[in-house]
Amino acid sequence: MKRPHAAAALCLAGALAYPILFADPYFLHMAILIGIYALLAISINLLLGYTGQLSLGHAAFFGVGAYLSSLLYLNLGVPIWGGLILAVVGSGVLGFFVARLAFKLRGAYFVIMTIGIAEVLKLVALNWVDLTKGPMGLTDIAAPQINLGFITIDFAQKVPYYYLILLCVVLAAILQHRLVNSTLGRSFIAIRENEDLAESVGIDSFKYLVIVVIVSSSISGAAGSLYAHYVSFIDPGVFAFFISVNAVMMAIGGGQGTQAGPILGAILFTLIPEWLRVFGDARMAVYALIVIFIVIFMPKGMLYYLAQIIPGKKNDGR
Amino acid sequence: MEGLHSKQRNMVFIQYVINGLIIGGAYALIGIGLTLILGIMKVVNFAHGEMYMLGAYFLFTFFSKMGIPFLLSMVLAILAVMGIGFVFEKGILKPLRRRSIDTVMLSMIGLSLFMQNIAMLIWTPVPESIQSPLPMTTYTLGGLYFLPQRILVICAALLLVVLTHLLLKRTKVGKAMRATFQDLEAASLMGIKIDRIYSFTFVLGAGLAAASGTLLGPIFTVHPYIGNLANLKAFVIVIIGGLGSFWGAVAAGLLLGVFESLGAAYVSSGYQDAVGFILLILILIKRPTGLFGKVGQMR
Amino acid sequence: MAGELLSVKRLTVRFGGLTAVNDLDFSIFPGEIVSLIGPNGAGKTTTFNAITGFLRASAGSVQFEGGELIHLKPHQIAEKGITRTFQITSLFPGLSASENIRTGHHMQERETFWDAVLNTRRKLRVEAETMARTVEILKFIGLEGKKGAMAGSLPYGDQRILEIGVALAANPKLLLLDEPSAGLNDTETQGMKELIQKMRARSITIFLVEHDMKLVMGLSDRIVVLNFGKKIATGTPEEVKINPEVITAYLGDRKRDAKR
Repeated sequence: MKRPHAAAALCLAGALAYPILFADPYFLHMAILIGIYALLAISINLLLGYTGQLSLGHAAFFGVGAYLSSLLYLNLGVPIWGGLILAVVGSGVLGFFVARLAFKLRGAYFVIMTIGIAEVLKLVALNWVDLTKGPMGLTDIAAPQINLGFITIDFAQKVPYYYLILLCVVLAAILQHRLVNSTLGRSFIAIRENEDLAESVGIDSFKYLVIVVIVSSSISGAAGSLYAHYVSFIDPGVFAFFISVNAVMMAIGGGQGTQAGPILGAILFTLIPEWLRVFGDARMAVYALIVIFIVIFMPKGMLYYLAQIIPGKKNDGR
Repeated sequence: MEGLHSKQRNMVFIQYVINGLIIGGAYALIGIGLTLILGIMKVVNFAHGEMYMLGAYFLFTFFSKMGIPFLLSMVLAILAVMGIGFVFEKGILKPLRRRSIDTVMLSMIGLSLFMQNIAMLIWTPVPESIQSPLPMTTYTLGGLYFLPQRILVICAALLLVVLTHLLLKRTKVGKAMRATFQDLEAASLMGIKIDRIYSFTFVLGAGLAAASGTLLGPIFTVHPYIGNLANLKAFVIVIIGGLGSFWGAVAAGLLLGVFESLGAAYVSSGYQDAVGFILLILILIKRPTGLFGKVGQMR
Repeated sequence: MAGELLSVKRLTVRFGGLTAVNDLDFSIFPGEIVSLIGPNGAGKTTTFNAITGFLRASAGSVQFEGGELIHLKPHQIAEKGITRTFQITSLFPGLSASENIRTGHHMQERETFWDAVLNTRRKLRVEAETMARTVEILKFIGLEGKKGAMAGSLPYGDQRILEIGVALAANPKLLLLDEPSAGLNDTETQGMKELIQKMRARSITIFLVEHDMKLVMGLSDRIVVLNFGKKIATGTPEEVKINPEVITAYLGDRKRDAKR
């Protein structure tokens, strides 16, 4: 178990030092976006990896988290700290209801259901103008300042916000790690491997599915809240299908079923569209081709293929 | 609506229902296409909506830009999309035949993303509208109003539904398709060339989606993302109607059209597109296999 | 009646127009080995499925230690102390033998979500206990040497034994075995017989469905015979062997097969 821990520690050290090495606002901006997407990818990874169910509607939780956090701030003055927690809770509650609705569904039926929920929420955000200002969106969602006496940390600045995101990503990664190595995690896998057998030894598959969905949706909700207070403006586009698809691509393309995969995927699939700017307007079309390429030729995700190339690196789902 | 007599209110209601049936007819076409592809080929075709979108755009190019006669433009648009569908089936779906359903599904999502962006490059993201050459005068029949374009929609939809049904029921190809749907192994043992059936199914499905696009294009605006919503509605129709069920897709399409129309009229027009999903969610809660479906596993 | 572990009364299972199990009555007492036999299609596995919650019973009652099992979900029935194996080999193929057994332990591992996330001392203790028990069971069934092997790649005979290990890990009071010797050769069947006897020695009550008559006669304290979903005989192996209805049921079956 030593090598992955050492690798993780190294990455963490690098991440901590990142703003010092790359102080350019553009690089920080990219890193923050990567972090937000990493949270989304981790939540997809949890759901897909441990229940085998694919959700193409996680933008629903992301959007709910974003709107909850923003509305609490704009209407009630609740700063990001409260907004973040309530976004997590709110998305978790939504996740609970989605799990109950979608539990009996399998495969593509589940996928369509998740897409449908995101679309309905988008329409609600578009039409409930009194609450959400509709297509105009919500603006001036500020990040707070913390006054510690000797210094003031202004989270409207990129560097502090970067560390905030980093903290959240690390927490999510630890959560993922703990779940994987627990009875709970093993129960999820058992359900996926053989649901009937799992039930016969006392595993309540419904309860476990609900738990996974709630954890998954809560993390996405946190991502939404962090996004809102960073870009300070949100509109119904936070429910966009593209966000859900991107998150899935990151989870799968990074390394399906691994712990580092979602983070790697977030890095890759946030940077690739940037590198594609050379193609100008054809940028997203090329991106789509790359997506197709990876889905077809690298279905197990980058990490799996990298591990084949790098000799000696263990590859068994950690 | 307050001051109307109840008879007039009834007429208005019937009008909405009729309007809904008309749009629903076009919905049925895209639904049939998807249910065939999904049921026979087991492909979760997330690019189906883009066939619809391309149908509308080709009509725009042929008719509004190149001045080709309207009906001919429709036919050409449908044929063009069928050709594209053929290329996609042979180029992408065939090589992926042995791969998992998820891989195919995600590839189709990538494909749909690709096509949306190509459409943006070719036709620009600015929404276009197709001016139907049919007269804008409304015809009245028994107190109900009909726009010629809508008459065209319902007639064309009816025609295509009947033709497709006859194709499935009477022709050799249709019987082969149905055999493949019921039992793939048995069908191939009987000597049916599965590859050809798949090709045919996909092209047919693409054609129906494109037809839907040419019919609804002049009614709604045309822009590169209309495929998204069309796709989702198609899936709603397929699930509600039951996977692989021809008449289920027809019924669900009409149902969706009517509910959308009534919802827009009596509840709120903004949530019109949500009607389908709400219906879907409600039905899936009660019957995870859809209204008419058998226990069809998609995994 | 007092002292019964399992009491099945008027159990009926219907699918569509077919009545697979019809008005079935029988009891099982603690420490017994009871076998359920009958020609193919008699409704044996259906009875198992109805008792363990995998099928909805249409009528009747199944009482375990006085509590009603009908309408309970499989995992709830497992919690009461009943586990089962399946007719078709049922394991977690992608997990190792030891991980399979560990999963069977689930109900013993009282670990909550927060235990897992916060890596509490309780979690670590529970995990240690689980590992110890897993090794113990592996030794008990004789697969200790293969504990790291992928369950899906084990030889068939070992897989059947592993299945029993998984069920054992759930610490059942009553163990239902569905055709444990199916596909096993003579040596393996003998090993299975010894394993079942070892389990009975550990105070586990055993209820099994079997086709291998030699095994049934050699193991069972009592036998229940089904035909077309109805009970046609019950008693000790000697009583059942000479029961004319039982003989007809089996002979009739053989006659039908001989005609084909």
